[in-house]
Amino acid sequence: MSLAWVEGRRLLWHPIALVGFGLSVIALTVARSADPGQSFVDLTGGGSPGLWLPPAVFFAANLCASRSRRSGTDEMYAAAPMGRDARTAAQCAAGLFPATAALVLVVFAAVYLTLTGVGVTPEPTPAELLLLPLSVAGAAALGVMVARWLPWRGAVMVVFVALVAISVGVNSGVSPWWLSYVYLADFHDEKLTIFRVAGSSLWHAVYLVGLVTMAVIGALLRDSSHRARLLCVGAAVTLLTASAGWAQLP
Amino acid sequence: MRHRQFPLLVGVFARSALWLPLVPMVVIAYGLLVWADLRGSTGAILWLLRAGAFLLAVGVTHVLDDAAATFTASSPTRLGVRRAAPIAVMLAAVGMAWLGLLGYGAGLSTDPVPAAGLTVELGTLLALALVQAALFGAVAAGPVLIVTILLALRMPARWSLLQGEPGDAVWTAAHQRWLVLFAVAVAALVWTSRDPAARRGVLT
Repeated sequence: MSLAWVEGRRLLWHPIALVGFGLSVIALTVARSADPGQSFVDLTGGGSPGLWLPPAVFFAANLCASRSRRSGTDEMYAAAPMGRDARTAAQCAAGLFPATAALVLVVFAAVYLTLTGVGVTPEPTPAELLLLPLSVAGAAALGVMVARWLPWRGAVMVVFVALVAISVGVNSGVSPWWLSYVYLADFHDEKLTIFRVAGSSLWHAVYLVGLVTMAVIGALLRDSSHRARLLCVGAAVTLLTASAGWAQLP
Repeated sequence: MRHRQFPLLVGVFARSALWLPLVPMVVIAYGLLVWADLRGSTGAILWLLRAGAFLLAVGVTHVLDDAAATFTASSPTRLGVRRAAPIAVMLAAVGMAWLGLLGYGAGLSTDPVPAAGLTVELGTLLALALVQAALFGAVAAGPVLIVTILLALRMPARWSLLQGEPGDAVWTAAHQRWLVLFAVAVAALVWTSRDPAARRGVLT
């Protein structure tokens, strides 16, 4: 627990994460000024914090989780009483820190927009408020998972670019039924179109929780001595996540 | 002496260079064009080539990584020269990949591909990637380059780098800005590649 606290503070104050938060606030302000008619999910999910924050936390978490390898202190840590699986768990739990900060940002945005009189139409549901924090927690867990499974220089960039390319490539121009509340870029007909297909925000939040849990289990699998148990739990979570993905459909 | 060493160093760096980030990036860049070909999105070739240029730039961010930097720092060869060899090797590989991408893209596109303008963009992105790697280290250079591109996409119209159609006045003005950025980035790279002692004024 104390290690998670230390790792959380380290992740929250990481320069890349701070830049992500700063750009999120700026982007949120600019987006609101440019188009006052945007819904709350549009405002916080698509072109604003949703664009900056999860990638920033992904890279920051990866750098935090890979620092012992990069600085050559793995052997020293290996002699410590706490194993690498415990450190991995602490680093995954550290993702709750930027996720909480993201929740504060989202709630502050909702309150601010309401108090300033411009209003938010429609008013965000609790599940919608959780979408960005869950994305941030998932990004942190994924960053740790990549650090554990792909311990090579440059691998994190390859994973990031591949994720973006696959997302755009697979989803562009087809019905993105499993990615409701996610913004998709379509380059069809020589035009760049950003669109969103809204389903059930509650089930989408459950779906994101499933993805976060899958990433955490993926990270823990690398060093855990209970792999069989983790694999069973992972399979169950995958099934639940797929079910939630189905249930979120419009 | 230094000039005679250079070809030898190039061979060494070609064997020891970190190809992991670059090779997958080249594969993804070609994959994007193949995807456009399969979908018949020939109008998006310009943007996919721009994406390819960005991927190539991200792929070279680790070129300045040198595990033996602590030891070679005390050698008589200056830092700039020590960096020039791996950069030359990586640029040769990037150049070949870029020529292939341009050729493939030109074959797919119904409109002429503005090779010169796109190559200026690639050169600038490469220079920026190398400067950021020199300033922040390779691990941070990739994310910083992503932020740079996202900011470029959201620049106001009069400062835009990515607006305009090939041949029109906006495109020309944008590429003049790219050229200025390229010159600044190269100057910054040269500056950051000066020997640290010379930068601090220790050497006279």
